Amino acid sequence: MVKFIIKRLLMLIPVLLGISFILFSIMNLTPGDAATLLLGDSATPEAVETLRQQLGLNGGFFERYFNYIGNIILHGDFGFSYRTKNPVFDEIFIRFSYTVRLAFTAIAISSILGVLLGIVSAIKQYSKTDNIITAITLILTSMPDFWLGLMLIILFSVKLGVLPISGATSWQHFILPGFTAAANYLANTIRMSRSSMLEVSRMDYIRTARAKGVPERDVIFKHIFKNALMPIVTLVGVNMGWQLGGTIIIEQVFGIPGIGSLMIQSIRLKDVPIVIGCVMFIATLSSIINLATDILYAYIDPRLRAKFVTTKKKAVKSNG
Amino acid sequence: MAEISLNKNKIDESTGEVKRRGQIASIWFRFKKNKLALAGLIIFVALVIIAFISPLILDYETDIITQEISNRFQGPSLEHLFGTDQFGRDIFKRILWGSRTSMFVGIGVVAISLGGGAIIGSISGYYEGSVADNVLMRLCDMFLAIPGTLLAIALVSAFGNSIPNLMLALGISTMPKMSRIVRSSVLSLKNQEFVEAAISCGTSDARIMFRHILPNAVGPMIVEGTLSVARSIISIASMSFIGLGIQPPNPEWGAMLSEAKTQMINYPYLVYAPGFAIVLTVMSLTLIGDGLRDALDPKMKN
Repeated sequence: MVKFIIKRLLMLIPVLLGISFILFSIMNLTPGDAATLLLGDSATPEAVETLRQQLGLNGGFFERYFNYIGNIILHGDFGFSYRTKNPVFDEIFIRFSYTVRLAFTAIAISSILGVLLGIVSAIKQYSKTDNIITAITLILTSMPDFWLGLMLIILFSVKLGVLPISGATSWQHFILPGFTAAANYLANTIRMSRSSMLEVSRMDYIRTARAKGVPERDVIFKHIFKNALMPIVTLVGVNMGWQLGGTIIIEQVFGIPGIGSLMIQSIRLKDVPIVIGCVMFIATLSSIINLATDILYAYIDPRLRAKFVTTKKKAVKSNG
Repeated sequence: MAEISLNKNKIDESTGEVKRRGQIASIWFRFKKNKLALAGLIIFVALVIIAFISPLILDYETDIITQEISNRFQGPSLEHLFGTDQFGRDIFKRILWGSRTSMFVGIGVVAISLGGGAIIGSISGYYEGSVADNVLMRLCDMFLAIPGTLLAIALVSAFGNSIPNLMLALGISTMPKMSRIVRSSVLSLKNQEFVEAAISCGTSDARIMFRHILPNAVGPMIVEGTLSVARSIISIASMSFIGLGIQPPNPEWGAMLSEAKTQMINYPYLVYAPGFAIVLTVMSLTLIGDGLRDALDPKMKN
């Protein structure tokens, strides 16, 4: 198990190097100069030149890239924001707390509501309720999230006046963005729970359970649901990874100063270390979440745990 | 994939009608039994017709972008079906015209990602396990690890803000996923007998890839392409909404929403219509895509 985890984490290194190179190249193509963008058009050429020296913007593309990457590898130094002069990770952590709150609200809403609706939909397959739930999922997937956000603002903030329009200072501020961010994942979760429940309910052991007179509620929750949980857990894990990096537009709509807003702002100002730092951070986080999901399987599904142990033994035998 | 469903068709026909159908006819036969997919197709055809005839009945200069401040913020009425915006322009006409931009750019994005994905996926799948395959797939992993919206934003700011650049940026950011899909279909096809036959005839690798394997992988590509147009229309609107896509006064739906956002507290009706237009278009494409998936591969349907 430890070997498996280490291998997965090592596989991340080339991906991160690749990401840094891709983004460094793209940002290098972006017209405009970070020093000029920071100081404004009225700055004297001398001031711009001094800042360029300070930021290390002079020198060829590869020289700058290897300086940047060298600092990360040798000193663990991800550089500092051109804009605020703070270390990259200080900037990221300040913003990240907002994104985390948004992501967890969204994940909680989409998982709980999604699984519940999925179960109802599967139990009452082909009924009116099932059709309504299917229609809701279709509409949710077809809706741009920013538009849903605007509609929720109009309904709850403007018409009803119960929730704040934008900002991130209290927990009420996270309700509308949370629902907005949950919408797409909600549709996926409903669909996945429904089909997973239906698949398991066709198994022989479910028929056996019913035949021996297990109460229907126990059949649904103890027999079907427990076995249908695997794909749902995967989906929640994947969603969580996406959620942490995928709320860029929603943060814009609701004026949340999260990591997505930071990235857009930094792309506009050519604040390269922040952009690359953010993406590396998100990529690392989502692969750790995926890894955790894989490990979680073994605990949910004893069949898989058994398989994992036997293959390991086999592998040892064949090696020895 | 197509080979398998061809055999399947004949069995289906023997139970249903005796008449032999061609492959496309039998796909259509299954497609039109799906009422939702058919509804999607009808809506989509209507939208395409609107996109084509709107320049015949409307004039871009006078109807779409001319500002008439005296007419601003007229609520929905018979004269202005969806009302007028903060510059006095008729929202209904702008939405009709906007369908052109969304469809054109959406299809352009998918053409780029499908074209690139077909080449990358074919090479990578055909030379499975080779250096080229590893390099291409690791590149895809890297691009997939960057959030799609962010990659598109970075590419647009690198290339400069214009419609072709937007298409290119969104096309590139969806290409890795498309390559994966093509690769997996190529993998499932390349060991079949018709490929062996082609190899034994001394056919060149390129010809086998693009003339023998790829046409057989076209089913999943069409399905993914249709769904991808739907997703692209949302991405285009999102990019325009944050000011990095299609710029006002061009009446792209996301750009219209971006303009409407500043006035939405006092005039919420500005936000309704463009959003419904997006939902309707995306939904019709999703229904078609799902319907095609079931029609092309009847085994998949549960």
